[in-house]
Amino acid sequence: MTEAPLARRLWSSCPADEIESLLDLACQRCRRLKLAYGYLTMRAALLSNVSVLENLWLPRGWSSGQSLAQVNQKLRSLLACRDLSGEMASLAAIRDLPSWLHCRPTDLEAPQLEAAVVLRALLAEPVFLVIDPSWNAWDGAIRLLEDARWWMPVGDCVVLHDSTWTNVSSGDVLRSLS
Amino acid sequence: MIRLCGHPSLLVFSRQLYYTGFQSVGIVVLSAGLIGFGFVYAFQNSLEAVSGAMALELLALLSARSLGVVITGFVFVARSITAISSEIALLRVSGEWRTLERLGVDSVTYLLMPRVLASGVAVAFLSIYFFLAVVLAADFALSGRIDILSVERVVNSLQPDVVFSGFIRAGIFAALSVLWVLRFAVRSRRSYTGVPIGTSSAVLQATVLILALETIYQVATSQPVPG
Repeated sequence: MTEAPLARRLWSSCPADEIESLLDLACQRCRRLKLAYGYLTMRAALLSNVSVLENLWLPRGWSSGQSLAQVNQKLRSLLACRDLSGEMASLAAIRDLPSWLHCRPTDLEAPQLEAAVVLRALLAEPVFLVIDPSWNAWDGAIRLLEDARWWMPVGDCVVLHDSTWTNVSSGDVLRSLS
Repeated sequence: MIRLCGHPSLLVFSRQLYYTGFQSVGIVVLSAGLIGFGFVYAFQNSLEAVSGAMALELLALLSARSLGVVITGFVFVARSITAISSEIALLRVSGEWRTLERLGVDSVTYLLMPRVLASGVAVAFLSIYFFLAVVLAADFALSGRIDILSVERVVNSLQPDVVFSGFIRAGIFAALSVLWVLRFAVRSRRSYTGVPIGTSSAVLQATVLILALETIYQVATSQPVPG
């Protein structure tokens, strides 16, 4: 990975019809570099025909051949050393994890869905987080991923005024992943 | 089931095997029973010169050579092709397919190939059940009871290669029909409202494909009648 922008939260403005291919490309390059990455989205976030547990297991089982028990154990150990205090609904959902782990995604409420997506990313122990513009759950479980560098492409008409985010071109981000 | 199947593809394979193979046994056996009864009465009513034993042997030969392939293929198309085609199309339309790809999961290897292989294996076994059920049902229709010895005699009278080629063909044709249907389900850019239309089209295409493949096989392997 070449020299990357030093800021931890990066956003890029690009034509709306290029966002999908940028997201594909970013994830592809992370895999090519064998970079641990996570992907956050609220659109088609989980496979609807399998349980939440299987959704969390799938990327780990696929890429590294981890068994369900190993993923379960890893999940518990990751959560054990994280601060889950707070009243935010998604953190409360993580505390209640066993009760909805075997549900289908269509049975989940919004905080549980958000928590599931964050947990799936957390299991990858990401250093880089690709965030789909549909992600709107900024308060809550996402703080568990503060250690990673975040990148989110947004449409041309969107401007982030949050000072914690740094605007970079999508080209620079993709070059840093080459 | 996840505990038994270590890899995600294996889990999809086992689920498809259960859905296509195990859950279809009832309808296949029922179909075979009805066909066995129907054929026996049709023979006896139409062909008085044909004895019961001859009718049973003829039905067994037909079932092993062709009927089993076609009927189990139709049951497979009605149950599984509709489900597989609509499921894959919905994954594409909803964007879940793309999410899988972004997570690094090869959608073809995870979603498609296990279904194709499981369909082939399941339908091969279903054709075996069909063959046995049709012979037993026909024997019962003839004599009012199941005579295991006469059934055994009928089965032994068939050439093993004819019997086994039927079972294997049923599996291969089922796998090919799933492949054909998925080729279009994966490539097409449908909306949600287009999924039922696409599924209906998939059923028709799969039905015609199985019939066409079986016809081609029968024509290619038929021997000219002497004289």
